[in-house]
Amino acid sequence: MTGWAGIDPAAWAGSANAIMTGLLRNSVQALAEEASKTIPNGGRVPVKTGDLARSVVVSLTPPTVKDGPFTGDITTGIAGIQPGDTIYLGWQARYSARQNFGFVGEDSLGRTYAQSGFGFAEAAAAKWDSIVMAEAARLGGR
Amino acid sequence: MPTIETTDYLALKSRIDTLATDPAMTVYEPDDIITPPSDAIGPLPFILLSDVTNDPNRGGRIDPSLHVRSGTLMLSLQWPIARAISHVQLKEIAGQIAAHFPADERMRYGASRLRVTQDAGILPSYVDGAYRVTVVRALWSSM
Repeated sequence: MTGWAGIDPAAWAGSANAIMTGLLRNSVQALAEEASKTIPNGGRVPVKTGDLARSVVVSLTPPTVKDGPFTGDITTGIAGIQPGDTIYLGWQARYSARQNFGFVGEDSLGRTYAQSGFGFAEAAAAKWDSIVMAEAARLGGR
Repeated sequence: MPTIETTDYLALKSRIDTLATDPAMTVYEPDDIITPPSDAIGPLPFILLSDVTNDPNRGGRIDPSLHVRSGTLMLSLQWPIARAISHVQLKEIAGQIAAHFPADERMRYGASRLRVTQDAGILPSYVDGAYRVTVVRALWSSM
């Protein structure tokens, strides 16, 4: 019996690791939700069929471009991530780049116009710091 | 009296207006109705602007009413596939655009005082329809 009544360092380290993992996963999930939030719902992703928003994917490998329809499942990719991993979050829809960066297109009246990019990737990325701070504050008491 | 959102964009625009590239290219603003430029050989390259703004961040500690506004100015270089260009040449042209927005470059218009937060960067090119697209991104924030 040593008489030590303080924190068990091993238990503390284990708990800290679990909190870090939780912080990372919660933050990535919040970022993915932000990245898939459509304009009518207060986000930046344009919506016609909803496929672009549903094409958001989180993975440990770079996302590939695909044809829809997409399921919108982001949880599968988040479940396996660990602190220190390189995580990729992207839009798989084939037309996502032109929607994000802009393009020259024709409108319903046949006029050619400069469709400005929606910049949903940049807008979501800009929120990363505040997302992590909010999630850290939420986990802070544990 | 224009709003701060308008003067922010006009501050960025004032910097864009001084951009000189080789070859010279027309810059189109968001939602301009355009006729894609061409010459006797075929379509000409041009630049499309996208003005992405973030939610204002209430960051003032001394003066709580202070808000920091920020955003990303995207300059999308549209190079016709029909007009031959090497990877190095395209990179150089995009680099000229990026170099126009170095870190801490100041821009002002009316009440807006903006600065580029880091050197503008170039994204990998991709093909969209009849154009090869290279995007230059300049991140800015209010001062």
